[in-house]
Amino acid sequence: MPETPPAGPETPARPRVTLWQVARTPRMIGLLVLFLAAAAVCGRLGAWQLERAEVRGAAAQAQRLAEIEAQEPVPIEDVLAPQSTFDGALVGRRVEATGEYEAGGQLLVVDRALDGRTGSLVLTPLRVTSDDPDADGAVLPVVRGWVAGDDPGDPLLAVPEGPVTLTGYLQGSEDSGELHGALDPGTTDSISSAELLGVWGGPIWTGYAVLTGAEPTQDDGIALLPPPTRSGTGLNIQNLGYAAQWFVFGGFAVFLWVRLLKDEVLRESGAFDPEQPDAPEQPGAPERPAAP
Amino acid sequence: MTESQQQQPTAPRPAGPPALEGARGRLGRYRVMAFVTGTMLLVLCLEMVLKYVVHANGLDAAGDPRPVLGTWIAIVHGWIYVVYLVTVVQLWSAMRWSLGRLVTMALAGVVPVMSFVLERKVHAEATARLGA
Repeated sequence: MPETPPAGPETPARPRVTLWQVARTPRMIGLLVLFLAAAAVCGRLGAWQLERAEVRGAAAQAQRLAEIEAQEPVPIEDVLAPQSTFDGALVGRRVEATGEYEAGGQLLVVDRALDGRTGSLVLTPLRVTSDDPDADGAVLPVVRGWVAGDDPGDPLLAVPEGPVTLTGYLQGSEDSGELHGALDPGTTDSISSAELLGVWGGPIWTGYAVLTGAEPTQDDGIALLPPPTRSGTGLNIQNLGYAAQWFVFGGFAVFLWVRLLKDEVLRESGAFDPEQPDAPEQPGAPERPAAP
Repeated sequence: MTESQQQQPTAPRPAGPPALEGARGRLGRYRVMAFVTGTMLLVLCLEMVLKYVVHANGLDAAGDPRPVLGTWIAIVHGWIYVVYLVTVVQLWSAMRWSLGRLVTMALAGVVPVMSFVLERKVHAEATARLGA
């Protein structure tokens, strides 16, 4: 910040110049307009990159979905054995399984949204029959779909009897929710294999299947869920970075003006001469010793 | 202010403007970033040529060229350039250079090889001014 103006021969007792006075000079106003314009351009480019991040993220998401939907279903025991760790890469894998639903074990997973509406997921244990001795008799949690209410007695939820062959997308187990008993009977707030193991008995798969089709078919009043995707923001990270960088550049422009303004104040005050920084610019500074 | 009495008269830098304060450190940081940015930019150019011109890794399902060395290069270069700009502004600010010089230095980070050339010039000038 400016010191007391030196009373040198070339700078005869200039008045102290304030930041505000300098800021109002045509030069600084012109520069301000220029820098603000630059900042605005940077901001606009940043917004454009944000938009691109969204568009490209959505496109990538759509492509992932298309890939997931195009898969041929494989028997679940071929990709994941019961009681073994669920690999994140299995999310969205299309599988098929044969067995029988256990109507008594069906639960409503409450407070779940589909297309912006809150309702419940229908979670039904499937006792799998398989040639694979590991999988035979194991329980696969199946999300049969979504319903609007949260009444486990809804006739819509009647469980198909007899052998059923189903296809679905794999999804990883959720964390445990409230303890059973804390919620209404027949409902739960999470799809947690660890928790379901205690309710349904084992062995159990560590993920669950999101139903896409079953033979015989179930009541179509139960809405099928879209394929699960691995969690992500759906934004393209590269464009997101570019957007942030443009905003930083915009900030630079504003900072530069402040910097130039401060320099200008110093120059006006005669505190220094940026054109000749090596010249002794304060010959008359009172506290300075005379040059030899 | 009284400390300035101890200063050598040949180095007339009174306590007024903070010009050149810490300039040496800033010069060093600028030098490092000029090299890093320049190198990264060359790698990025290589990636661009391989990806868009040579199609070294073919096209994806949508008909767009696939990255060859990786998308991370563009992402990393972007952030390195931001850091480079910070060092540029800091040095420029300390050296009290003109606005044109700032623009040139900023530009040098996005024009291949320019950062290496300009860095030599800037370094020489700054060292001379700082009295080596």
